[in-house]
Amino acid sequence: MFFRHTRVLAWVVMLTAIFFCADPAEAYIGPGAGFAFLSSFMVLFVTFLLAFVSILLWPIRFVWKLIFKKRPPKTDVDRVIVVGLDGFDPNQCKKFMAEGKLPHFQKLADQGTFDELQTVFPAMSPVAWSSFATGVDPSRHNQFDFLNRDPRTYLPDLASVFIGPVSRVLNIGKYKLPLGKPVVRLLRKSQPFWKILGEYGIFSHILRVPITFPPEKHNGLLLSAMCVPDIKGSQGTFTYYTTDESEVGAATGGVRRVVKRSGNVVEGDILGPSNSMTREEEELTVPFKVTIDDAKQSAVIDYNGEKIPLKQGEYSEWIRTPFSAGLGVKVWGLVRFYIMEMGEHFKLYVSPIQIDPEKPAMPISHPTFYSIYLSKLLGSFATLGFCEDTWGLNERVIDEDAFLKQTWITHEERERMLFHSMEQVKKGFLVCRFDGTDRVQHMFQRYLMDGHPANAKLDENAYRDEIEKLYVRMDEMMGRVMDKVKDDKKTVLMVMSDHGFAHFSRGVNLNSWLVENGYMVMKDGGKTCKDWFRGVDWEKTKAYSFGLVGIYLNIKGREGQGIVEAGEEAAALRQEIKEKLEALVDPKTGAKVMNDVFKTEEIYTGPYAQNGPDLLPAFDEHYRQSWEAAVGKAEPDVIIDNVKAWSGDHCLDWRIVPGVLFSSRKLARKNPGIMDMSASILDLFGIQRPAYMLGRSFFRVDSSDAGQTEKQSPPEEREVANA
Amino acid sequence: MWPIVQAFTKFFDLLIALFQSMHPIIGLTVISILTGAVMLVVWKYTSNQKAIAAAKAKISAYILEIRLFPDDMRAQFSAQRKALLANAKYMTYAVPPLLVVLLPVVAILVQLDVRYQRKPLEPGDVTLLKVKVAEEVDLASVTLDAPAGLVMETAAMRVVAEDEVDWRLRADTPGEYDVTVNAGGTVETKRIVVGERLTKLAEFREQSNFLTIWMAPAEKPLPKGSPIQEIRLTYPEREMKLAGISLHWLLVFFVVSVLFGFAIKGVVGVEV
Repeated sequence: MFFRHTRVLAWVVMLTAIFFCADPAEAYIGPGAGFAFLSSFMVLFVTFLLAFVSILLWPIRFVWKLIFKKRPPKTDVDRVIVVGLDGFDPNQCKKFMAEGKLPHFQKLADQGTFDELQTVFPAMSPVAWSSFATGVDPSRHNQFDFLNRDPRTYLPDLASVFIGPVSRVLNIGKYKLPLGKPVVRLLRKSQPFWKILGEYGIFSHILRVPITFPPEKHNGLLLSAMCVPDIKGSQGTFTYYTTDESEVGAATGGVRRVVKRSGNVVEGDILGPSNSMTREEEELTVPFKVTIDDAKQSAVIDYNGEKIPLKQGEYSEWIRTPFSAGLGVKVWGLVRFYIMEMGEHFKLYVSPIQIDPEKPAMPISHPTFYSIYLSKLLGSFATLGFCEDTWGLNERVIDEDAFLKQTWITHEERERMLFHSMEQVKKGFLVCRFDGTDRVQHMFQRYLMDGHPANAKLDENAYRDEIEKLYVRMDEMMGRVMDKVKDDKKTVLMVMSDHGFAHFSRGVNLNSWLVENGYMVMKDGGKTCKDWFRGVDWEKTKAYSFGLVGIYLNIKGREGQGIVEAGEEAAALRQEIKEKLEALVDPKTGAKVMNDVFKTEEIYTGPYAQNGPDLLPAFDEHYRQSWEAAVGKAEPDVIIDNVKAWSGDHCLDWRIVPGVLFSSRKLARKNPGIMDMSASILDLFGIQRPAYMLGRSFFRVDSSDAGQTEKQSPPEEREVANA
Repeated sequence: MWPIVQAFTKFFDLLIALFQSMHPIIGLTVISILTGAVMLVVWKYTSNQKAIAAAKAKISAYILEIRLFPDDMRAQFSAQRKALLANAKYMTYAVPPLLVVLLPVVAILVQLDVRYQRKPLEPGDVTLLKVKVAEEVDLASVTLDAPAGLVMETAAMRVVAEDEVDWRLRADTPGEYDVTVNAGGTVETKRIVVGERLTKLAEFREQSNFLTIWMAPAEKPLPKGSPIQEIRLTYPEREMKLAGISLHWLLVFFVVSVLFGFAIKGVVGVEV
């Protein structure tokens, strides 16, 4: 608002000056000079005005802070930098460090500490990073999975954010004009520790930490990550255009479309969001035309007034895409093109359409103009929460090479942000999380296991060293980070991950198991149901499962068509299912599938425990909830091969997938956990952890850490109790 | 060269004729708008659009950076320094298109200058007509012949030190008149306009060179080597008023052309 007023004021002053003050001779310049002159004048004017205002306000702000801001005691730490490498696995680290392939991580470990970082249950990014941010467990921050259920309808909702329509609209002809903003509400409870830092005047840069959408206000800057939707409102929808009709069919995570080739031209439409400004809510599109040069294996894509030259196997830059909703309103997105094939058939992959950070359709940063700033300074970047297109590879609309290129392009965008922020943060807290480490391990773990079912028709050796390359590349990046930090004694550098990785070769369909054991019944008396329980007879069903985490009982009064009485009946049913599930054996291998099955209260004691599943199976390595069960399907077989490229996972027994913690400062105790991160960082700045936090500083050995205000059992004891 | 200038001048004559019956500011505004649009397109194709866009993005970013760190004076001053440096870089990108548009814009400005800077004499107005001749010409041989509609109020006044002969003329009747100067047998004319019409006015005729051809397009230059070196008179200044405020035509041209250029740059897809 202030900036807008400044611009208006600048124009008024400038035009007044020209009309009434300037000598005519001074204006003896044409429009060309005028364009340059005015633009530069504006820059000078705004820059000096802001400088003036800043200098004027600085003493007032200083006094305000002095009076009203809390002041932490002086510590020997000015700056804490946390590099988050999602899914970085301690076992892989140990192996490659032993082989001398990670010299910088080794140096960091020698200088301070390298340890496993205990994760939470379920060991998933949205859950674990929420615990990182808040210092509490899932039953206190209310994040148990990507999806949550609506117990009335048994349908899924996004667990971390509620995005609702505009409450009031004005209907004019075919248009319905919104009278207000859509509701975007963060469903994660508790508060991130950077809010507490802010109360003490400590500035924080929070880059791409999951479950920060919509962005919350705090003293600092924040760029949202996981669960930021694409422009269509989905968690990532690719579009695949092919001239091969045999390829077209249903696709998870995207759309396949047939296009016709006429001569050397292929035409199509980029499919945008539905137009919420019209009653019909028709899909907005932007046309494109590809002119193919077969001889050169290249093409020119004519799109939105731009001609984009592109070779087969190369990604385009981010292309800004305006979707016109009418009445002059445009919704801006970013896409990348990738030509998969241009031989017998033409195959074009178009990335999920990202919210353009320079013209964000909804706030993805705090302050809102922070994403604009980053985009203008560092160039366009991916904003989608899950921007590496794992479903594109699962569905084979892109191949391994295309996936890797996409992942590393995105990683480089993050790197630029990290190093830029490191330049800016001389005092305060900086955390930057990288997704690529997680995605590459998800998709290439199959090459570390002989005979993985996902590689049945592929060369098992082709990408065998891809995970090693990933670790080496992260080491190289950390080398540059450590060079920047140098031996600054007042900076504490930490590298951490939210979980590790395990093989995922067998999918367990908990719904099929429930059907087989009579806890779930189909209306047609059969064994299967379609997604989201279509065909389930709720009046005879006692339990159901969806998402990646657990089993819910169909409780009367809680579920829309519940039949199980809360209390004794539910308790007995839970015990029965738990015992049977714990005995589940994989008929193919004879191995036990679960290490444990926990009842909710065995793990969680917080106020939101009832929002989690009633039973939490802790799968052993190689096993996970199957893809079909995750979307509420039941299939004929309980355990099937996982044939998707997504072959590494961590949604299993959390005790076998801890994360990593490297710290330039030695830890004072063993067995650190991800919940301890927030208390430890507060401690480094001399701030007492709040009473509600379960996490405790691992920089203190005694039980009365800097912020000890509530008696909590130490992490070691918690673990024993939980296990 | 003169035929090109003549053609260009003729084009402006035709353009101005369209607005002859209107307030002078209307024609000027239309020409300014057209100029702004044409120059914008010229700018588009003669500048490094990508570099300009990048420089502008950086400038915007650094200005936003000032606001991102309200409590950190070091960061603020650093952002201001970077914004000013980026601005200097932007200015360097503006130089090539500026050089390209400079010549056509000067030519347009000259055409406007001969029409909007001065106005014709009104009946009753008095002006001095000055004739400069070569050193070897006898000033006594220099004569002036004025047609009906103009009155010679004085006899010739000879300024020997300046090789100059002056006459005081009074406008009597509206019209366009050619006065004839005879200097030792060499005869040249000078157009004098009386009335209220918006038309091109030449305050002088000088001997021909590249500059006079382009800078004084309202009347053909004197031939090179002519004993008559210059014929000059003074027209009154034109005053344009809008809502009671006196505006110089250059300011109107500048503001209208630039603002129109800014207004349509998004439509034309130009980074300025």
